Amino acid sequence: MPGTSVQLSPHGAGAPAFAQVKANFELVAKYGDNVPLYLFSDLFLRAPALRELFPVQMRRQRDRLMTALSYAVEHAQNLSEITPYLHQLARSHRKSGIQSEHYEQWSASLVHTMQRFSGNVWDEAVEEEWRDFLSLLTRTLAEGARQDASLRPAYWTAEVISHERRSVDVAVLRLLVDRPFKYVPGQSAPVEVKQWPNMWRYYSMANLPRRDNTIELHVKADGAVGRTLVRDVREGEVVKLGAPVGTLTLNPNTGRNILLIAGGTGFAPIKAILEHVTRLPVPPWVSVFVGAREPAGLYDLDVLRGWEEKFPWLTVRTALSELEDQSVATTGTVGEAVSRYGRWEGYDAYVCGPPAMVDSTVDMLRANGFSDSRIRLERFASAVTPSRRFAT
Amino acid sequence: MNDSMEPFPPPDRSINGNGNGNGNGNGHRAVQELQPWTDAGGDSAGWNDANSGWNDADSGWSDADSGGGADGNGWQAEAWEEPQWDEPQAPGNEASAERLTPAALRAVVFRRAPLGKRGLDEHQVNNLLDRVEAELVRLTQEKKALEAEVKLLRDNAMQQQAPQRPEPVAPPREQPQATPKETGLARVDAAEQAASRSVASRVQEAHVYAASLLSQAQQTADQYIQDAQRYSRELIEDALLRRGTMLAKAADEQDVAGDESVGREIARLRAANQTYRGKLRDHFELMLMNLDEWETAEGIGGSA
Repeated sequence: MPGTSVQLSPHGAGAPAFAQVKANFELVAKYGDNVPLYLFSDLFLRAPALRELFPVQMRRQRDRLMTALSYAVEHAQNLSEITPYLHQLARSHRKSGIQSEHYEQWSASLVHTMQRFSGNVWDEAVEEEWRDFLSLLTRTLAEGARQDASLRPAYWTAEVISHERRSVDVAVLRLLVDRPFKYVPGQSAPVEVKQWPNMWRYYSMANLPRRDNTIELHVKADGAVGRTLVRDVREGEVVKLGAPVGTLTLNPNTGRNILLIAGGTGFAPIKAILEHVTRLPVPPWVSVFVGAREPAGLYDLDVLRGWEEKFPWLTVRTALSELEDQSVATTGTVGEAVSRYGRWEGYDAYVCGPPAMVDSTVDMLRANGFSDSRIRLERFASAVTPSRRFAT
Repeated sequence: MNDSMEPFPPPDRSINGNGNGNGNGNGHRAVQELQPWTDAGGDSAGWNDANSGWNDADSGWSDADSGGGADGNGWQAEAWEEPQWDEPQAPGNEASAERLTPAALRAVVFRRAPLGKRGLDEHQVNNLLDRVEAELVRLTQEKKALEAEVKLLRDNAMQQQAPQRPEPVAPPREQPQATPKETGLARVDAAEQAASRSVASRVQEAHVYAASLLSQAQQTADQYIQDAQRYSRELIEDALLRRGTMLAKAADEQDVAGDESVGREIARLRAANQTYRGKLRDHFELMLMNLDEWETAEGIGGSA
């Protein structure tokens, strides 16, 4: 009886410490990638139909599983602390077709896997504790999925209505989503192409939500999904979208001016935020800095220049870090360009781009007196999971 | 770390140990018979079975060396010619433990009948037939037991799904021990219970083996995909790099041309201009001359 033993736990306050689970996980985690590898094999043997919910290449899934699991085990004594995270996890499971009953199969496989890697350390007490912990965990996940199901579909389908190749490896796609697709400007959504089943890649919507349900995505041809979206996908093809996520959204109530910094296709959410600003009754001063390696990387400058002429509160500056072209932009990283313009006291910064660019830009911003509360950022392909704690 | 193809060495052994430690010595042995390739203990009869001809041949040699000759079969004279099917010493008990495998059947070589008789050794053939029969009987029994087991597990699963136990498809090995009443095992008589337990243990081991196989397959697939993706990425990066250098080079050449040779180019064009004008003039003059000649010859110009 899992329920009773939870309440009878000697650790008080109705919250079991799950010390054995933690110790056991610590022990088993030493086997690294073999653990999730075996776990998935066991799961797929028990429920072969589940295999189709996962991509062919499983390496990243295994990492994610262990990251999430170690995070949950770490907070085992108080799972309610990480309920938002677990609910988000359950939400992202929905798009792949994972149902609540699959959590039970997963639990069974997990217990079996832990037993297999524990050797002689395994006994009934450990098993009992794992089962209790997993029943709590999966209950939270199932609850998260249930709540989410009452709010939105598991996924959306979207038709590609235009596909513009802006440079060798950048394309701007416009998609027509089948149902209303609510998001906050600056958020991103996972995209799946039919060529790569169950491989989801996050892309930011580069526009305000529109009444006609069209969205604009800026795609760079890296990664399997990105390459397919840039090179293979044609108008008329259909992709799947998951629920939008992300915190790189405009905070319009600070009363401060806005500094937008974009690198490469990180311009997409910046553009959405900028469009958001244009709808404010009293727009603040906005400075946009767009950086790229070469002129072709500034793939969406025309729109931006048009807005700059139209809105007196907007200034746009560009920077090229590798191939210089003084007629288009200043030379150097976008961070250097921002730094050169100096006084940013009254500004909030929003940064999006490749990880290296974001990191160096944030360093620069801090050096220019930005406190972290005044910086919002998103790295490309940023996982929804917490930072990686699990060493393989 | 990720790339290692090594299939979980330490836990494997410990699990086998566990299987034994849980009082299923019987089952352990049975599994080895089921899967001779696992080679876990090395002590049971299962592995030796297929090679029994060889093993016995060895013992025959050692017997010959020691000069004992205790082997009552009297086949030493031919022993080194080819691996032979040796009749079991005590068909009643020993043979029943040894399983008849397709490999063993294939390896059977009957001796010729003793001098004076024709055909194969009657005794040996009969012996083999006995074993085949015993094996068939055993297989039939096993099949029955397995069917019972499957039914049992299916019932279990159904029972468990109804009251929402956390684990719908629990490892079968644990079921009979944990809740014998609930699982309806009480309905099965003792003999069948033992049989089904050993079968369950086999199922469990087979499951572990299958999972390991699947893990290796997944790892291999991951590796292939990763290699392919890396290769394509490298190709693309290389192409982009070349494109960049070619563009830069083209731009440079253009600049150079622009800077240095504009004056030279103008001079060259001027010279060409003069040359062509001169040639054109010559050409026209020639044609006019021809025209004059033609008019004169026809008498046109003159008459007009």
